[in-house]
Parts: sequence; structure tokens; C-alpha cells
Amino acid sequence: MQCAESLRVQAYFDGEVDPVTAAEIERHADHCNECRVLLEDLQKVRTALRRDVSYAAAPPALRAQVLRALDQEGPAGQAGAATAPPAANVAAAGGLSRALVLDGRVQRHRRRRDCSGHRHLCGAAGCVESVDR
Amino acid sequence: MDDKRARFEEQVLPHLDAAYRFARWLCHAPGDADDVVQEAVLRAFRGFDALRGSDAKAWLLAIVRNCHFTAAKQQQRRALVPLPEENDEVDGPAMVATTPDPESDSILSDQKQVLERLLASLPEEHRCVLMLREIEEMSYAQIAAVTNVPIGTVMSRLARSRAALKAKWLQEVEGEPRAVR
Repeated sequence: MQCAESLRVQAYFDGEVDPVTAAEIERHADHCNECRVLLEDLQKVRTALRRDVSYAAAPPALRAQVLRALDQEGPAGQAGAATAPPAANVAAAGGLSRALVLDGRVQRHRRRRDCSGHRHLCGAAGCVESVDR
Repeated sequence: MDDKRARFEEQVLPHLDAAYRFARWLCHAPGDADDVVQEAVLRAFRGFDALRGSDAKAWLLAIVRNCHFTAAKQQQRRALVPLPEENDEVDGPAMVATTPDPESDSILSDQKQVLERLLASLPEEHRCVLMLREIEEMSYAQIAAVTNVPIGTVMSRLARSRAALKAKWLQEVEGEPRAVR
């Protein structure tokens, strides 16, 4: 049977409670063996994840590719925003619909392998996708 | 460099590594993660004016997540009618494998590989909140913004994912099955 305080104990562990609540939970954990064990387990999981899981940084090639893509967006990023309605799920990201269509085209384009090795905005001479993009 | 671009590079691009890590945990192939991140950054740039006062990291990661779902749906549609030329190229080793490969199981002996494989076996929505909390050290409110769920759901998913990971770990390493809380 799980202690009814377990979610609050987790919130305490994650630093998500105010000082008064923190003191309450500490008093509770002093007398609740299950919550003491839970706190130990939470720390073990955190330690293992932060010690053993890969912290991949964006590869330099991707960073350079992103900067090149931004260069081609134009001075105010109107490339997509001028012609497309905003997305429903990311209202802030104007031009999403057009981006989705293009994204699908570019992915299919890449998979046909007639421009293998190119990424978005490949810009290769004679590549029709680069003209549209 | 114009003002918008300069502000974008100052406020959003510092989170490119976090966006890439998040995409790597969402996507199965590194090449897919590259595509998702690039598309997300472009969308973020186009919608950057809407960011005022918001949390740039949570905002960018939310866009990464949406781009991933869009790409995943497209891949699912393609998978329904597989064509020879639609086969994806192998871009390199995945950060995580969604299913254990019996042939490579024998080399997955070290702790790090086991942990990453166990993480990969968690449901995606649970893995997301766990990685955002433990690796990106985001608050519940930030995770809720990225994953578009209430804070209470973030808390319950975190609890389940942590308990499941611990149970799987004990089962894997110590051969000691435990009930998932």
C-alpha cells in the first residue's frame, strides 16, 4: 500500500514545495518508513541517471546547419510566417503549416536518395527541392 | 545581423544542446533528431515575436516535441505503404533502442548501456518527463509547458516512471523483480 503522501514527498524531493510544506513532509518522513525509503529510491534513480545517461551536445555540424538555415530565413524570419496560418498546437510558431508541408516533401525527397546527403535547405545546384525551399 | 536574429541567438540558441538531447531521447535515429531540431529552430525563429517574457527553453523544447510528433506521424503513414525507395538510411547508432536486440544484448553489459536501454523501454510520455526533470533539471511547471499536460499529470508520470525504472533496474541488475508502485 502506497503512502498517501508519496506525491508530496516526491514534490519535496524535487524542490517544488514551500518551506512550510517542506517542514511538514520532513516530519512525516521521520515517522513513515515507506516515505523514507521512497526518498532514498528517488535519490538513487537521480544519481544513476545523472551519472550514467549520455549528455549529448548538439554536433557542430548541426549547429552550423541551423545557423545556415537561419541565414536563409531572411532578416525577419518571414519565409514561413508570411504565407501560412499559425499552428494549433504551437500557436507561437507562425508558418507552421507551410513548414509541415515542406518538411514532408524534404523528408520524402531525402528518402528517394536522389539528393542523398543533403539536409533541409540543401541548396544543391539543380535540386528542385532547393528551389522550392 | 538584424535585431530579431541577434535576440534569437542570445535567448534561444543557448538551448540548442537541450533541444538536441531531448530530440535524441524522442527519436530513434540521430539523423531524425537532427531534422527535428533544425525544423524546430526554424519554427521558433518564425514565431519568436510571441516569446516575450516566456521561458525560452521550455518553449523551444515544446516545439521540438511537436516537430517530433509531426515527423513520427509522417513516418507512420509511410510505414503503412512501404516502398523500396522509402527505406530510411542508417545514420549511425541510436542513442536508445526501443527493443532489445538479442544479438547485441551480450555487449550491453555495462551499467550505462543497461540504464539507457531500460529508459528506452519506458512509455515515451513517461520517459520525457523523467529526462526533462533529471537531465534538464526543469521545474514541474516547465515540464507541463513542454509536454502540454497539467502539473498533476507531470507529477504522476514522474512517480510512475521513477518507480518503473527502479523496478526494471532491480530486475535487470539484481534479478530481483519488484512491484511497480
